[in-house]
Amino acid sequence: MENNEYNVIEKEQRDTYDKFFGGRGNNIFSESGFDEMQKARNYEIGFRIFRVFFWAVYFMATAVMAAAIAVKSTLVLVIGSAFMAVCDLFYLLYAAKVSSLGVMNLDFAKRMSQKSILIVYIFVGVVWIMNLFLGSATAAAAIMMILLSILYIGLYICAKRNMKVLEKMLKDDSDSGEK
Amino acid sequence: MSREVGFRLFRTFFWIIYLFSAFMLMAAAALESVPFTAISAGLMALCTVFYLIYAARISSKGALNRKFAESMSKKYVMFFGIFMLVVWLFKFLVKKGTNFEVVAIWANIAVMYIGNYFCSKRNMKVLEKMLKDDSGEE
Repeated sequence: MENNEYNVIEKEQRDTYDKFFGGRGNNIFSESGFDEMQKARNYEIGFRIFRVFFWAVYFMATAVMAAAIAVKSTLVLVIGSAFMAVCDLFYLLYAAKVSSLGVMNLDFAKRMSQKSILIVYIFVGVVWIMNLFLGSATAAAAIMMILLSILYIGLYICAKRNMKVLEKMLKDDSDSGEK
Repeated sequence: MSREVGFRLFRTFFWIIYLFSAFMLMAAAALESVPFTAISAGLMALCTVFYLIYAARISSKGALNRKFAESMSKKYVMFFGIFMLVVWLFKFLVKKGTNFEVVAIWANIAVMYIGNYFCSKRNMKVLEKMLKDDSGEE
């Protein structure tokens, strides 16, 4: 088959997710072969389910940490901590990605970008790290509070970035408007 | 834009939590801890429920991945899912020779397969109706 202007061979584009699962349409979340409308529907439905799923999982992670205290098992504590850390990691990944695009919820970003958030949660983190090492609190409680502090510090940084991206966008718009 | 970001993260998050819950279920069995087993099984069931909710909502709009829908709408998928479910429940309830966590994992997979079948069938019907409506308008 000749490759000329009348017979252009389209390069098959597969995203990382499809490559990982070994082909197009191998599982339910694959986007391959979708037109723009199908993608938009998937994103809308998937995003809304994601929010609820995330919080349900986060709540269960907290339940596992509580179970670790009740059962007094180091293994349960390690698993619960890893579980909660994964939730926090995805939360921060989402925050980082949306803030880099400047599409974080504006009210949330304004609240989270206040310096008091950073100061309070650095303080909370330091206090609970000290509690953990001094043994004056249960490990599960200390780990939960340390993870929460990391989460809020991360959110502060992401919210600040979001505000900067928005300022830059407004500045670029006003500069191009003047021209 | 945030929806696209959220969706892409969701699918990765979902699979990680699903695998994590299977691992937790195995750990719970090793520890022989009833509360931990209950939490792990509950988490896996939660993953399956959300999977099915997603499949049901997407298929009602006819927006299920076409290749996936075509492969999952075949009758043997349903028979396979029902067969797996019946076999593992039978082993657990009647023969009493199988651990709960093994049954829980296989039962979840079986339910997902059965759900995939019904959602894929609905997706194909919705697409047929959309095509029929489009050609009817012409």
